[in-house]
Amino acid sequence: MLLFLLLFPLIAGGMVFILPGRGHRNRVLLLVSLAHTLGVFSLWKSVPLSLNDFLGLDALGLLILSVVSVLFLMVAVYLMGYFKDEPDMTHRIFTGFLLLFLAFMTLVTISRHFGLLLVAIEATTLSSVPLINLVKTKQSIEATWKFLILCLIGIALALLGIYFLAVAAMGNVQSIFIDKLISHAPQLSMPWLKLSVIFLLIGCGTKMGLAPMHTWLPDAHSQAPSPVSALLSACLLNCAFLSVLRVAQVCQAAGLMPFLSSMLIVLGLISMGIAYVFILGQEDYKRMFAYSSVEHMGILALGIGLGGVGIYGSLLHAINNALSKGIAFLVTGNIYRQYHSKKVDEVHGVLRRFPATGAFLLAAFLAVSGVPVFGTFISELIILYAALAGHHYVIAAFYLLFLALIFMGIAGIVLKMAQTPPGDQETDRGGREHWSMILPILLLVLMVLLLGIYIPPALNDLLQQSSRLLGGID
Amino acid sequence: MSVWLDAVLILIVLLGLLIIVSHRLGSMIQIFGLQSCILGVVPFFLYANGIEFFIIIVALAAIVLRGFLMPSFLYWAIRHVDMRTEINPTIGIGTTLLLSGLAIVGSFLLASKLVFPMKIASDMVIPCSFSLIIMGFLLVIGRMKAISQVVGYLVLENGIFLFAMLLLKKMPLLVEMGILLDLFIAAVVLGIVVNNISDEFNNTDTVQLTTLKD
Repeated sequence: MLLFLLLFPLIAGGMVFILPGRGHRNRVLLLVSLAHTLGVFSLWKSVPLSLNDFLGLDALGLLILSVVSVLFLMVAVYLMGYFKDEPDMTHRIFTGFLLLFLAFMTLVTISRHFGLLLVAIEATTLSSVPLINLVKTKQSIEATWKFLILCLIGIALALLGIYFLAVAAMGNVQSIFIDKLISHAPQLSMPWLKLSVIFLLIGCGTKMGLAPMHTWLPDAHSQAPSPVSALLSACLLNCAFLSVLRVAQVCQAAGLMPFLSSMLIVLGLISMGIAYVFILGQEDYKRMFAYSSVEHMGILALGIGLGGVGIYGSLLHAINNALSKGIAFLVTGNIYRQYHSKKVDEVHGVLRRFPATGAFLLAAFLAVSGVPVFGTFISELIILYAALAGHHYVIAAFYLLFLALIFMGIAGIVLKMAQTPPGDQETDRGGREHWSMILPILLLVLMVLLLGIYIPPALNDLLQQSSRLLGGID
Repeated sequence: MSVWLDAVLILIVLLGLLIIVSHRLGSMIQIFGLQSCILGVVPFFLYANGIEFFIIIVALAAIVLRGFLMPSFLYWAIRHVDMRTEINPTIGIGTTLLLSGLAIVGSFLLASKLVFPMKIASDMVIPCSFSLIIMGFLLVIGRMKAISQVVGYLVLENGIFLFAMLLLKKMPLLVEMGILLDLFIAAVVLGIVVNNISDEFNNTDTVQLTTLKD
């Protein structure tokens, strides 16, 4: 099954490059993502499982893989009606690399070897380059260049971190399989392990968009086509988060968690602060949501850093954040399609002209800023509880302050877009909205609402298993 | 052998400094090629007592890829654009040089604190690799031309490669993986993007890439 999940999108991706006909390619994309999602959920009963030394799936991997798979399916549905008049070649490249992207993200979640994990993360970077750079404008090339050079440096530093890890493991462990490192963690050489953790955190943190290494993120997210932004924000960042979690697993086993925690907390709070500074008065609504991604990655890092129930909260938040970022970026896709502008000032009266999109825009805002009833509220609350339970009052205060400030910042922007009356030359009713651009967003909204009031027992089980892997309490 | 190894390592670091002080993109690339070739010889000195077949392969691959293929590829890229010199770096060349000097000192201090769990032929391998990594990093953040940034990235990779040489016998798989990884990246993607930038902007100056701001 694991091999199927990995190879099916890979082969389909290769096939799509030579498949004629836009409709065929769209159907292949939909079929593959549906099969992938079904495949992933069929594995829920059977974790942890391992295929060989290199490939295997544990609770953490399954959690992230499920998020990736569901979001990818939603984006695949969304894409049915997205492309209208792009050249055939562009569509071919886009669909092909999209499927490869899915395959490599799957590989990230099932790698049981740090080297393989790194290769997989690198492959996700490379396969997302043609997606970000789909429409070749000056801005998108600039964004791609920043994305590439920063992620490459990040990966290079992570590679160095992995070499340090290998040195740390040279004495007794002799290899860097994740399971082996965890079971033999106390025998690792501590100074080298510390050095390795620093470099791995910087490297993976770059990919995850933690400030101050986040500078690629707003550019790439704002310049990529909206469905791709949704994938970057909801799937790719979570894959990078998973790699940080793998490092945390080793630290946990080696008793280095306090060392890692302090770094994660600092990076998390810096990310939230920076996100606030740039969200305030942001003129580009896609950049605004991109900075909100930086904020939420900060929250994830903070949750892991706080430990205890914070880990459970952080993992739950990873799911909630992915769902709400999916909503947010798909909605921006709808808005961009109707208004042909990314500027906040040029978007008026979304609620009046496009009722469905307008409602989803408000839902996206509420979900992203963690208002009650939405799932994000619960997970943010658990992280706050973790901070208070651990007597980290200063951290809790900063956390609440940033959350409140960012809420107000986003509220100002989104409400302006939704409610200002339409301009004179704009008709009261805009063009029709295609079903495929409404349905996936609706499903995502329902999911994030559901997680706000009820966490299914199976999911709760999985979250608890994952949190135990990181030494958290349930 | 240790004397020779030390000499080679010092030469590599000096070439790194030379890359930092050169204005012309062409000479940066040439010096980088030379540095990579010399780097390719290091494994022979490092494992002088027990040279195995795959060590020769790794060394040759490094020389061919980093010493010849990549420089000629970069040359091809700069021939497409008119700009040949690095003007207005963000961090001045003098400052970069000074910072590199500090980085070298820092690397030796750091390396003296770390105990490598195995006997190495020379104490200088680790500090030299750290210095190269920091120099490459300074080049990436200090220069504006896309090509200089790529060279900076490659110098950084050279530093990582030097460190990887220490693991060559214990964990050959990991080292080979690293080599394949950066081969793949550098050759394909950077080329495509550099090409895109030059098409769209007529030169590869990343100063022009500043429309995305907050």
